[in-house]
Amino acid sequence: MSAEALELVGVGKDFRRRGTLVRALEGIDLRIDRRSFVCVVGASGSGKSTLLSLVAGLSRPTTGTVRLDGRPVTGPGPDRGLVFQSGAVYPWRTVERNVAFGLELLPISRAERARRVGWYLDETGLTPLRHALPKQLSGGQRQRVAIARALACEPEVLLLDEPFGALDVQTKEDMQLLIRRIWRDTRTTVLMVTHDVEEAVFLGQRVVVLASDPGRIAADIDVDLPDDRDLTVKRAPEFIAVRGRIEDLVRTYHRGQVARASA
Amino acid sequence: MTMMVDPEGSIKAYAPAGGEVDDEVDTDIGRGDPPRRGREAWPDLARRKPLRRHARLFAIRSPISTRSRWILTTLSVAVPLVAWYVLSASEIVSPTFLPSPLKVWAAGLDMAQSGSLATDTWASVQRVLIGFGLAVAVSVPLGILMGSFQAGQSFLEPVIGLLRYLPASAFIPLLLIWLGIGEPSKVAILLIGTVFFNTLMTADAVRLVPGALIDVSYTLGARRGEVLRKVVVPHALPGMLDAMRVNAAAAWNFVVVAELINSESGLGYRITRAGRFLQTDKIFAVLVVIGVIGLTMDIVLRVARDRVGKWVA
Ligand SMILES: Nc1ncnc2c1ncn2[C@@H]1O[C@H](COP(=O)(O)OP(=O)(O)O)[C@@H](O)[C@H]1O
Ligand SMILES: [Mg+2]
Repeated sequence: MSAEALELVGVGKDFRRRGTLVRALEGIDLRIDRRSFVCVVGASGSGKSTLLSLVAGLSRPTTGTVRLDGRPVTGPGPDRGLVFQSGAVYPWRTVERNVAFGLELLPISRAERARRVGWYLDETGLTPLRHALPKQLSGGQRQRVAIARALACEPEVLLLDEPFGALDVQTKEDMQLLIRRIWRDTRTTVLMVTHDVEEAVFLGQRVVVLASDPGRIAADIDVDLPDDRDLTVKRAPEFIAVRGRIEDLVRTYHRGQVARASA
Repeated sequence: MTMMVDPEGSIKAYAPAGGEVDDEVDTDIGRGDPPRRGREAWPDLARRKPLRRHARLFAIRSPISTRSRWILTTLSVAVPLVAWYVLSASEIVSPTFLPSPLKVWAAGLDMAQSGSLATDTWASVQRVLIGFGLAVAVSVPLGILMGSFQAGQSFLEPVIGLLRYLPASAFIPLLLIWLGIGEPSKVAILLIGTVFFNTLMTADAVRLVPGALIDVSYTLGARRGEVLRKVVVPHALPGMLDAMRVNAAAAWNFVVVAELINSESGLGYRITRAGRFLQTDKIFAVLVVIGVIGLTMDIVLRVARDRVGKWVA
């Protein structure tokens, strides 16, 4: 078995919108190692969501291929769990039954299902809320449900699409710590998309910068910080240096796009 | 541009005299741009008088006290009843046209005791249950098909969109020719009158299922049938019940119309018969029964909807 969990080769995606062609992604080559944590940053409209939906198999690339464990991705499946910014939890299901959704589709016993659901509820701190309905939850709690629900299927890769984008700063930090703990405990490969550079540097072992229009890889930066991080690392000079470098890149590519758009 | 701290400590910015401009242009928005002018000559923006506070009763969407609610609910029934009573007691209108509430009550009691009221009510209710039941059985799957698949939408929307504008009562002569004067033609009128609307409204409820919810279900391993059964239907269920509530009311209207035309039993039939003998008190009594049964049906469906839709935020 190769060391890569995920491999994108020459991936491009075009959309046709009212007759005009929108090139959302172009020539994406990306290899993601098993058990690594990779963050993708880019301005809004740079094709981050498109990238994740291609990996999830919810849409097909116009060019190139996406491979998981060497096999081409042809459609969505529980080996690639996806968490949307909106969470997309089932509003009629309690927290517990949301987390159980994927397991209910599998031929496993009730007891086995309950044991697994229980573990993920504990891991995400949702056990006290297991009987609550989504409408009774805060935004952060709802994201926990979405994360636990994806994890319960034990995906090869966890795909996160700006999952903390709508949360306040404090809740966001809690969630960042949570996702780091989950990554440590489950050793799942994580591919996370965000527009928050600090978040990307704090979470990722690697940060991929997307340039817009068409979406393409502008830079691929290793974050040389210990895997075992806490919030204090955000004040470390190394952290600030990488963060500054990436912010400059994002800004440059964003400016370039703005200048071209208004030209 | 120069900055100067004045003795009071506040910072003022001066534009250099003669209007020279820095030759170095900074593209940083908000830093290099000279301050914009042009607002100095404007008159003060007109203001309106401070607003008056409305009483809670007349403020938009403002909750009112339980007491006010009960009073208004009681008045809602009492005002028309009193008006009716006064109008008939004063004999401005002839009692043949407008019987008094007491006479109507007596006529209703009479029909109830003779058993004809129960027979007629059951005959009408039965027709609604069968006719509207069939309509639901047909329209719910069709609506789910239309709301979930573009193919279903493209194939069904044009024809159903057209058919729903054909009034069910216009089909009565045709149905009598096709199906005779028995039960089938009455059930068919109910079916025609409600099935198209219920299909379109069910499709609307299904279309409101967020795409992200469907997508995420596939990534959790669900297959197409499971997505329909475990995601689309549960999410659309409260909306479907709303549609049924609206169309059950329509079905109840249609049954009475169908029975008016031709029948040997039913509340509509009873009205036609009473009309033939100028028994306006009986007509009023039956109308009251029709209203009360309709209201009961509505309340039952509303309670069911609120139960099923507990999760709706
Ligand atoms: N379904 C679609 N149809 C047409 N254009 C789309 C569609 N999805 C995305 N796009 C376009 O592709 C580009 C990338 O979008 P997206 O991946 O959502 O960016 P991001 O997630 O980085 O904000 C945008 O220009 C967007 O308008
Ligand atoms: Mg996006």
